[in-house]
Parts: sequence; C-alpha cells; structure tokens
Amino acid sequence: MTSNWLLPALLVVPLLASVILLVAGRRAESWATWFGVGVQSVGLVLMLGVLAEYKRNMSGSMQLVVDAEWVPELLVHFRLGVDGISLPLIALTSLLGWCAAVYTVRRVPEPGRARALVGLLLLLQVGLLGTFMALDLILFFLFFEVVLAPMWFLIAFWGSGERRRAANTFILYTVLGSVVMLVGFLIVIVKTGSADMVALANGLGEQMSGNAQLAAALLILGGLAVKTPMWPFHTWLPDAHTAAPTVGSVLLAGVLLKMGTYGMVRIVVPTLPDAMVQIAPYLAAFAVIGILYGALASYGQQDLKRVIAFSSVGHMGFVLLGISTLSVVGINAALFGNIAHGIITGLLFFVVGGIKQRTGTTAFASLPRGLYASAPRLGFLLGFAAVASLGMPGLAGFWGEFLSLVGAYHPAVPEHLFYRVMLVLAAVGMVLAAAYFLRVLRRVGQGAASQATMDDVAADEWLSWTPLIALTVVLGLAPVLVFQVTDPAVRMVVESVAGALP
Amino acid sequence: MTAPLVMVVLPAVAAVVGLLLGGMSRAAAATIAVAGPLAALVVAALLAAEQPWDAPIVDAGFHGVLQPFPAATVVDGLAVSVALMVCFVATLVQIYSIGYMKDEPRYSSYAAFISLFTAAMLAVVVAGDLLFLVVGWEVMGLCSYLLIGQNWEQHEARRAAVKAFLVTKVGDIGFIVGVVVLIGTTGTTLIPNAVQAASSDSTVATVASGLILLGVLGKSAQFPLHAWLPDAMAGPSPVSALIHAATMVAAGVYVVARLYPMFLASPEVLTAMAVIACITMLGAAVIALVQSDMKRVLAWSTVSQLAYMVAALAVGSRDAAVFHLLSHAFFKALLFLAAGAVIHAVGSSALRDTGGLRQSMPVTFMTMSIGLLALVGVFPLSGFFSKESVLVAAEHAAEGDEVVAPWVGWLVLVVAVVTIAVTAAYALRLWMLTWVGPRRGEARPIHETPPVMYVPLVLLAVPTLLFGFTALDVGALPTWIQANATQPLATPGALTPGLLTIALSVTALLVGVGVGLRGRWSSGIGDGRSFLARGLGVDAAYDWLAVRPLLVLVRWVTEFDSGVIQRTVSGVGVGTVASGRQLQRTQRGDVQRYVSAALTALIVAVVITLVAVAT
Repeated sequence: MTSNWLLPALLVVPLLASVILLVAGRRAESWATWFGVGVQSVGLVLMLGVLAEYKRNMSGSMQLVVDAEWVPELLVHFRLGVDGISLPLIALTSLLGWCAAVYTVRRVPEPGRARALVGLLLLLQVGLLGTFMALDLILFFLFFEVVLAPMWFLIAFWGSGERRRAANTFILYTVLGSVVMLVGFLIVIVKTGSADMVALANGLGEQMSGNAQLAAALLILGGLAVKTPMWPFHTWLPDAHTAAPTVGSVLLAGVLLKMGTYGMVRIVVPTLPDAMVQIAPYLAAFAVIGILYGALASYGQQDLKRVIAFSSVGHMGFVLLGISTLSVVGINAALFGNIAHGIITGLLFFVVGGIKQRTGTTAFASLPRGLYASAPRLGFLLGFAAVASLGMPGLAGFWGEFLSLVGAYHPAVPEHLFYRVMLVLAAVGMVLAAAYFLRVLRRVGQGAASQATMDDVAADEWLSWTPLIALTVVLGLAPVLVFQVTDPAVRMVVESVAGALP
Repeated sequence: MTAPLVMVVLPAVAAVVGLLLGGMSRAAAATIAVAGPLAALVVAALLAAEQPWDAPIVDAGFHGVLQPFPAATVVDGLAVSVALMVCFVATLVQIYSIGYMKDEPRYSSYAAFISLFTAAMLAVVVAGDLLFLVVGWEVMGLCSYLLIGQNWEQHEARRAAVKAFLVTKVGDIGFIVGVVVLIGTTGTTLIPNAVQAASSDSTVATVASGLILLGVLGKSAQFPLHAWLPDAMAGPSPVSALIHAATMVAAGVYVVARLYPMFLASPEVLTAMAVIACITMLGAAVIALVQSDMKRVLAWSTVSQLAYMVAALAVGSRDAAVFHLLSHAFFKALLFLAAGAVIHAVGSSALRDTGGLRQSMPVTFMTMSIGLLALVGVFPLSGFFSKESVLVAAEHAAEGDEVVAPWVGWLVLVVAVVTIAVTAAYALRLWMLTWVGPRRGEARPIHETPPVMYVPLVLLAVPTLLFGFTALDVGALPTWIQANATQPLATPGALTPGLLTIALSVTALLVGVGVGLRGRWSSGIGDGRSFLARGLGVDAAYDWLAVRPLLVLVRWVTEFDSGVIQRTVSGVGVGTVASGRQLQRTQRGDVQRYVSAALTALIVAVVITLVAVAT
C-alpha cells in the first residue's frame, strides 16, 4: 500500500505545474515549452511506476486505490483507482500528452503565447487522467468538465479558420451532453444512496427499479454519446477538428473521445445492466449507422482534417458495436479499439498537422500533389497511418474492429439475427474505409509533385511521433499486451450483466 | 521461434531493413532484397528434407480469439511444396528486378515491398490459425496495391492500384465475415480444428465456405471480381510475374485447398465454384484472344488458368488444383518475366510495337516459347500434365465419383477442353506477333537482356520443362501433397493422365493451333478498345452497380450532414446561446460566452434533476 501516492501524483504534478506557469508571468514564455516536456516526462515516469506497481494477475479488481471523504453531505468521496479497463487509457493519455509536449517545443501554433498553451495542455491532462481514475460519480463528472475549458481555449485561441464557431459548437454540445449525464448520475445517486462506482458496479446499481435504471441509463448514455461521438451527435467533431491546432486535434481524437466509451464500460454497463440489455440493440444500430455514415461522409469531404474526423465517427462506431454486444470478446475489442484509434488517429493528426504547417492548408483544392515525391518520409508516414487506420491486419487498427465483429456474432443479448445483420453491415464499412483513405493517398501522396521539395520530417517530429509508430506495429503484432490487462476486468463487467439477461 | 515462422520472418526483416535504410546504396539494397527470399528458400528446403513431418501443427502456443498474435503454423506437403515455389519464384524475381529496375529511383522501397509481400504470402501458406491467415491475406493485398502503384506519377497506375485494392476488398467482406462465422461457430481459430468442426455441419460448412469463396473470387480474380487483374498490369513486369501470376492470385486457390474438407461438405458451394470457374475460364481466354497488349494477354490468360484450378477444386480434386497451381506458377512467372525482357528491349508492351524479335533476343525467345508451349499444354511440358490432371478430375466427377453432381463434371470437362483450343489460339497469336513477321514500331537496335535478367528466365524454364513428370505414378508430387496431410484426400495416382482426356485435349489443341495459324493477326491488332477487348462490359457493371450508387450515397450523406443535422442541432444550440446572450449583455468576450453557456446549462440541469427526483 506504499505506492498509493502514484495516482494522486499523476494529477497533482501537472496541476501544480499549470499553476506555476500561471503565476510565473511573462518571463515563463521562454521556458514554458521545455517545462511542459519536463512535466510530461515526470508524468510518463510516474506512469511507468503505475505499470510497475500494477498487478496484472489482479486486473479484475481496483488497484492503487485512494479514498478520502470529501464532501460528506453530498456523499462525495475523493476516490481514485485503476484496473484493467482504465490502465490502458491512462497510459495512452500520459503518452499522447508527452508526444504533444515534445511537438510543442518547436511548433507553438499562432499566435504564440507558449505559457498559456502549455498551462492549458497540462490542465487538460489533469482532467483526462482524472476522468479515467475517478471512482466516484461526482468526481468523474468534475474531471469530465475540467477537460472542456482548456479544449475550448485551445480551439478558440490557437485554432484556425472558423475557430470561434467551432469552439462554441464544441462547448455547447459537450456541456449539454454532460448536463444530461449529470442528471443521470444524480438519479443513480438518489436512488441508491451511493456515488461509489465500484459498489454501484458490484450490484448496488442493479437494485434500482427497471424504470429508474432505464431513465438513468438513457441520460448517462446520451451524455457519453455526444463525447464519443455517436451518430447523430457527431456534428461538433469535424468542425472542432478542422479548426483545432495540431496538438488539440491529437488529444481530441486520441483521448477526449475515449472518455465517452470508457464511461459506458466503466459506469453504464455494470451499474445499470437491466437497462443496458434493453438498450444494447439500439446502441448497435446507432453504432453501425455511424460506421457507414462516417465512411460515406468521409469520402465526400474536401478537407483532409474533416476526412479524418469523419473516419473517427466510423471507428468509434466499431467501439460502440463492441460495447453493445455486452460480450467478453466485444467489450475487449471495444477497449482495444479505443487504444488503437487513439494511437493511430493521434499519429494521423500529427502528420496532417505537419502537412498543414508546410503547405498552409488541409483543403484538397489547394493541397499540392505528390507528397511521396516532395517529402518521401512524411508521405510514407501519411501512408502508414492511413493504412493502419483503414484496419490493415498486422497493425493495431485491425484487432478492435475484427473482434467487434466476432463479438457481434455471439452477442450476450438475445437478438442474434439482428446482430448478424449489423455484423455484415459493419464489414461493409471496413471496405468503405479503405475507399476514402485510398482517395486521400491518391490525392495527396501520389501524382507528379506540384512542389519540387518540401521539408521532410524533422528530428523533433520523429521524436514525438516514433512512440506512436512503434505502438501501432507492436500492438498490431501483439495485441495480447492489451488484452491480458483488459480481459479480467471485462469479465467482471460481463458477469455483472449476466444476471440481467433473460 | 519455429522453422516455418523463421521462414516468414526472414523476408519480413529484409523488408523492414530495406525501408528503414532507404538511402543506402543500390548494391546493398539489392543484396538485402535477394537475401530475404533466398534465406527463406533455404528454410523451406530444410523443412522439405524433414519429410515426413511429425506434427502437422508445429506451434499452437499462441492461439485463440483474445490471445493473438496467433502464430500457429501448419507444415505438411501442401504447405511445403507451395512454400518452396513461392521462395524460388520470389528469389528469381528479386534477381531479375536488379536489372529490370536499374533506372528506378525508388528501387529500395520497391524491393522492400516485394520482400514484405513474400513474407505475407508465406504467412498464408504456413498459417495454422485463421487470424494469422487473415493477416497474411490482407498484407498481400496491400503490397499488391503498393506495387501496382509503383509508378504513381502515372494516372493509369494510380487508378489500377486503387481498383485492385477495392475490388479484392469487396470480396474480403465475405472472407472476413466467413472467418468470423467459422470462429464463432467452432469456437476455435486453429484451422484444422475449425475445419473439422465446420465440415460436420453442412449448414455451417455452406455458409462459411460460401462467404470465404467471395474472398477467393476477389484474390484469385474469378468472375465477377476478376476485372482488377488486367488493369493491374500497370505495375512493373516482375511484380506481375510474382504477385499477379505465381503467388497472390493463387493464394485464393491455396486457401480453399487448406480449408478443403469444409468445402467438400458443401456440394452447393462446390457447384457454384464450378459454374463460376467455367464462365471465367472460357470468357477470359476469348478476351485474351483480342488483346493488343502483351501483358494484358498474359493477364487474361492468368484469369483463365486460375479458373482451371478453381474448377479442379470444384470437382473434388485438391491435388489437381495444387498441381496446376505449381506448374502454372513456373510457366506464367516465366512468361511475365520474358514479356518484361521484351518490354525492356522494345520500350513498349503494345503488340503493334513488337514482331520479328527472334534473332535479336534468342534466350528470351527460347524461354518464352517454352513457357507458351507449357501454357498450351504440349507434351511433355509441365502444363500438359497439370491440365490433364484437371481434366481427369472432371472426368471422375462426370462419372459420379465425387460429391458434386455428374453434370458439374461434364460441364467442367467440356468447357476445359474448349478452353484448351482457345488457349492454343491466343498463345500462338501472341507468339507470332512477338517473334515472327516484320518488326513493327519504332526502329531502334534491339539487344538481348543482361544475364541478371535472362538467367532467371532459364532457371524458370527448367521446372517448366520437367515439373510435370512429378505427377506420374512413380513421381514424388502426389505422395508429397498427401504426405502427412492434415486432411488425407483423394486417391494416389489421380494426377496421371487418362486416355480419354489426352485424346480430347490433343484434338482441342490441334483445332486451336489451326485457328491460330489461319488468323491474320498482324493486320488486326486493334487498339484494345472494342467491347470484347475491354472485358465484355464488366467494368461498366461495376460502375453502374457499385461505384455510381455509392457516389450518390456519398453525396446524399455529405449534403445531409452539412444541412439537416447541422441545422437541427444548431436549433437546439440557438436556444441556449440566446439565453446566454441575455447574460452576456453586460459582459464582453469569449470567456464570458463560455461561462454563460455553462451556467445556463447547469441551471437547466438542476431544474431537470429537481423534477426527476421529485417524481
């Protein structure tokens, strides 16, 4: 029990650091980005500490738990912990935060002001990590909200194009979403008298009446669905991505979207199993519509960033499909898909950001052709990330999607035939994904270069991107690295659903 | 790591090194490129020497749905014989490429992608786990896309690469869903176990093999998913030789052979295969007859020959299919490399630019002639024996000795014999237009290719000449393919030619030669734009049935997304923003806007909660 300081430390370090940047004043402008790298590196080391302390053979139960009474009148506890469901996401957040910090050192987007940018990124990190560690509904909600403000500032101040509108749409959607979610939480808390996510998951939530469960589940899912984003609540995403600066897009796609699907597996499925069994087929339908819709819309976009944004709608559709099966394979697939999408889409947005920095645009109409010729390494990375994203077996993107399909063949819920139809439609979505990514490569990568040469990938870019490239390959060849952590925890979740099945 | 895995990893390592060290010298890149498949060839030879193999599944350590990476491998006669062929052809293609791609600025990545392809193909060959198989299967498709698009400055190459990827990917919907069904119903990913379980339930067998067949039609370029292969000739000739003649397109046939007991459990699927094979076999051969481009003749010929293999599988003879797969790999790789040599010398692959090259390119002439004789099926070349084995299999089926109905056997037998005549005609036409008669096209000095290119031709001519004899009773091949097979099938000696089939095929061949000799080909080469030459409108069918409807859907969805949904959601937003404006009157700036939106939302939340809790 000596290492329980690790999780709070992961939150306190970036929080303190952002306070330091706030009080440091103008003189911090010169060292803020390096300071950011330092803090994120400390975070990465702490993360390695968590990995070292984490007992893989006990992945099904909460570890490194911290529990302190906070606002006893409102039943709020400061509870943190980590298990097989959250560990991969916490690790992903630390890693992407570090990558973004390294990238920022030499590439502070317009209009500069590195101190504020780094401070906000660190604050964002607190919210993201906190969301994945929280074991109390109110605490979860608070961290969930902490994320919003820094992201709004990132888009509104460091963005491009219609950044204000995009930032406002983002905030509007997600605030409305989280309000709805909060109402769902409050129903759960009032009906059960507890906000303890572990207790709720271990049978306390099931004691709620069917109607109360259904109401709470619909509200909470609604809020999380906006974040994921599930079709048709996705329209904030393309605008936000198009406007956001590179690091904003990376963290948005890489981590923020996962808060939604994480919340479903962590809270809704085990706490409200009766409702979830009822809702699951509808969730599957929305997921598959998202897969097909995302792919078709992706093909119709005229901007590189919007293509990737819509591809995220499709990929998160596979994650939702996995969850909706309520099966061991499906939920494992969903958690893997979360991680894979975070890594690959993070890399895609980094590369696209690199292209934007060099050409000043992401619109197909004005993008030069022949990136393979003018900047072969950058072109290779674009091709690599695109191929990974279209679900090439042997790279990380494949397993989440494929195993979602396997899960859909034997869903835990009774509507087998319906799920098999969904399975086939989702498989069609995989082909459509190939179509729009090949279109991108044909338009941007291939062709006679209209610009003779372009600066190829620089050293700092390699440093910040290499971990993502490596993980794309490693998890593609050894997905077991994630599954051995998630599987025991997923079995606990599925067990809690088992009682609710007819 | 076990030997079969080592065999897969060696070319993969060559690929990674080639890609990482992109800036190295040509000599270094070439050395690595040849070393990969050559090392794999040595491993394959060692595996072959171990015969008989003790345990068919060498490494089942890491299998199961959530326990990938699933590297279980199968080593039996089927796997080892095909692996030997793959490594042999890949090595020769890499050697040939050193000369053929001499002026290619992107040689290093080109050679690396071929190495990666070799690894993927070997993965398919030795895979003992369905997931391992899927990985190899899809990575092959990726490499095919990359290599067809090698000259991505050219519009044709870009288009052909995308077409190849997407058409095969459409088949892969079936393949992937089929694998999901197989895993889902049998609960295992180990191929022999899954196949055994699936073949005991005819419904499962029909559904799973029917779905997987779709993927096979795409990969092995069978009707109606065949039209990507002729266009794929936009890739360099060595790529066509390896990927689009000898290996990847044969992988579909190989996978059916690997899963064969499951297919045998479903006469319906076998019948469908037979019909598809017959349409493809004859249709492609007729289309080959009017092509104006040397490589496109060979491409349509490949489609037609692959159909012989599929037909053999359909009438119950896995051994005949594998036999023709191997012999076709040798003579068709030889033909493509020889065509590459001609293109190298003439500077064009159009038949209107060739003719009369016999004296100036003697080695290429001799080897290509051998290849064409084998393609036509002249005794005693390999193609004669392997094609005979297909005919014999069809004859057996027609006599009612197999799971399919006798009419299926008759159909295959008749169409296969007719196709022999057409094959003889287009092969003779190609031969005459290339080598005899007057020289057409621009006048320039023609020289034989350098040794680095013609030695591989000679080395491929050896098995093209002799491989057929392995099929005779005394020969090794039947014993080989059967040796320690995980699925013992067919009777020994089934590959030996029969009297009836020899009579039929010789007659057909003579008819074909007669037609070929009477044709006045050089006066009517055409521009390849006639309805027949363009493949009987299949491309237009793709366009009307798939591409256009999809583009309409894309337009609808895109308009819908930027219109309806946006507006609806903005409507919801407007209310909130409007109330925010009230708060904002006394304040200015964006921070305030955020705070006000958040506050409004919070108020709404509290109200809803109070209502919810009160009721």
